[in-house]
Amino acid sequence: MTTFGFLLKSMFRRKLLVTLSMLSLTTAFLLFILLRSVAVLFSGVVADVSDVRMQTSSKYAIIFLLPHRYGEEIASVDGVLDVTHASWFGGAFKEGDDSAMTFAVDPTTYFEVYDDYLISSEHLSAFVELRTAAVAPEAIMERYDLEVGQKVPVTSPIFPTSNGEPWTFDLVGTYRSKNESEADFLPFLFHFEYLKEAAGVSDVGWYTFTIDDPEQSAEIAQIIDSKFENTSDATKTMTESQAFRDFFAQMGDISLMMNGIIGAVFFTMLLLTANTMIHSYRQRIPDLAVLKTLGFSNAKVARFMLIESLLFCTTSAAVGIGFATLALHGIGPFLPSGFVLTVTGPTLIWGAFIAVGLGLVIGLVPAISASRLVIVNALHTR
Amino acid sequence: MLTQIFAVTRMNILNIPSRWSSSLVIVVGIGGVVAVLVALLSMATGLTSVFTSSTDSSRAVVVRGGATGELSSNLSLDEANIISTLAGVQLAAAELFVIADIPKKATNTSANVVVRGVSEDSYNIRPELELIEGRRTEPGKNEIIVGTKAQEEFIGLNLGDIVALREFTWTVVGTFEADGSSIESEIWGDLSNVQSAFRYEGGITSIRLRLTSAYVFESLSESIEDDSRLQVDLYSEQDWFEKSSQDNTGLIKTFALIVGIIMSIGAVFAALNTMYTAVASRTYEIATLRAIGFGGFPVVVSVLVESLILATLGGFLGALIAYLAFNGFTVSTLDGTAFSQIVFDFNVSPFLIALGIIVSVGLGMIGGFFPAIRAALLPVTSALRGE
Repeated sequence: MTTFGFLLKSMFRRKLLVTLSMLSLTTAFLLFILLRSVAVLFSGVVADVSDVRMQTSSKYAIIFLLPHRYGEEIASVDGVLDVTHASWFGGAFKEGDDSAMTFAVDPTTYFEVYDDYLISSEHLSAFVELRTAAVAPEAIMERYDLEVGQKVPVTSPIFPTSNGEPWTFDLVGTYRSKNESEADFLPFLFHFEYLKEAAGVSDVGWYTFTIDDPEQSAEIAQIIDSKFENTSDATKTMTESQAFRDFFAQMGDISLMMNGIIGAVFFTMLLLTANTMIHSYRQRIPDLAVLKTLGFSNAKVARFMLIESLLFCTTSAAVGIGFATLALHGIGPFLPSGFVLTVTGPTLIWGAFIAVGLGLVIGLVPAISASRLVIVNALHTR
Repeated sequence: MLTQIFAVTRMNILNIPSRWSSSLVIVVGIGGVVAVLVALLSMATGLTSVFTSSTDSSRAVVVRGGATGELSSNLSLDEANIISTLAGVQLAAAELFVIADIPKKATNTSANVVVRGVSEDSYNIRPELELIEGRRTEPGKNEIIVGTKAQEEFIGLNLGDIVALREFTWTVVGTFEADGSSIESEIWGDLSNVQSAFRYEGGITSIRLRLTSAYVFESLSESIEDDSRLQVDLYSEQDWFEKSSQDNTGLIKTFALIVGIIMSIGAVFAALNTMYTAVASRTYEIATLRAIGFGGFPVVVSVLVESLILATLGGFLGALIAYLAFNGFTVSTLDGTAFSQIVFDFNVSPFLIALGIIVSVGLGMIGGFFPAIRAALLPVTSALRGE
């Protein structure tokens, strides 16, 4: 029998006890992964948001509009490549439905700035050419059962039409993003010119632009904001990833709370697992004495206990993390759109770190006592 | 039979201190579950009570047809004037709901705060609004009053502070409470001032109504629908708040449930473990009892009672921890429909405490059941021989 085989055998000597302990430790790791994925979502770092794209919006709050001429002024700043703009339309596709992401944009420049959006050249040129045209991402096409070529009625409480009827757009194409994780964040797009003409709005919601060097983003933001600082439409410019983080920061201390729960869970599990290990150790004192009689050194016996504890914790961790990954895949489709839960590298590293740490802490007491066992007394313990 | 049950149970319970470390596993394990579950649900309860604490069935809200929140609504004063003349409307207050970026105390990063432009009737419609400091705003002056929750959560909203909101600077002249409702997270100023500061001249977002009675709601709703000049939605205050709170609390409740269930499974394994160990360590005693004529049923009961006592103890402990640590704990989060910060207190209600204890009893029951069966089915002779 190999040493490893021996360890496994002795570990499962009390099958029920060890299995139950392992299962509860497994649920602890399962929770760890799930809670971390929620915390990561709310810290806003998971989104693969570009650092080469920046946005300029009203300094006072995102809902306030900016003058149309700002576009040219932003484009004239050194280091700025392509500039586009978008306006929140708040459209709903069905009566009584919540508003979906619907933006009024400039069709030509929008797809230049968002070059990770994939659209066929026929669809794009059809979009650019027709004033009442719109394109929808695949997620929206599916959810509302839309087809290219149809007319789409959209109601907007922000821009109601004079007769109360819905707006009508000609759906001429569809697009998607290179980043799969973004699929649910993509907006329905139509011509700003159409909105301008029909609703008499000349100002736009916000500007988005690309820069040639992400290192320069802070300086560029400063240059743009100081240009407009003393006007009545002061601006706030930042990278898209910063904007995303700021938005999630508004959700509050969710990440802190997740960590609190994780702490409570692991404290409970530490106590429980330590108890199991000590119990299983006590039962095996005579066996350990036999091992020592056979000539196994104190250090070796201590190592056995430690390795057993490590094995116990890492196996539970591996199973728990495995289940969590499956569970996250499983619940993905049921989450509201925009909520993407993933297991990140740092979470896995933390999980492994905790598993090993827990194994060492829990194995320590049995290991020390095992090495100090006096054979004669120990053989007596029965 | 009863004496037997009593005798064995008493023996088990008196025996607990000698096995305190493994007994503690049940208490702590289940305590942990209850603490987390109660804390998460108290967050949902606190958030819900912000929306439901002061609803009045004779009040109603008018927004643009299809609007999901005041922020996405857009009305005109003409529409407000039409509505104020309809039968059943006692008071109508045109209001402008906008948001402003103000830094949060906790993080020093800006977050959206609601600024509401109000008229005299806004106060008359909401008698629960009570100034606890200072005075109301005076017409024509750039003055604001601030809800207590907003004041707690954001920087620079104390009495006498000067606040820059869009075009103007404003003086905080008062602080108000409102029965814990969502307006405590808001800043209020005079409608016309807010309109010009935020450049919404003549624009409003919603109309608050006091109806002559709750019974006229249906007929008013019909007359609004029939009026071709109006493309608006009328909500009773209760429906309006429910609509707003659903989005926000639904997610927290689902989350609490998922975490609670997974933790419960872990705790049941822990409880099973402890009770199996407890039974195993008493194999000899149990076999002796059976040998001298005690039945299997008293043994089952005794194990179950032990598990229940430990679990309930854990439940009380967990609920107590949740209460001490979280009751009244103030946090703020983003209100999904209003796109602004809503500040609320965790509310560990008696209902939640009861719920936590019920959950602990249930878990103790499951954790004790299988070990109890095993104890009752112990083969007496081999157990006595110590096999």
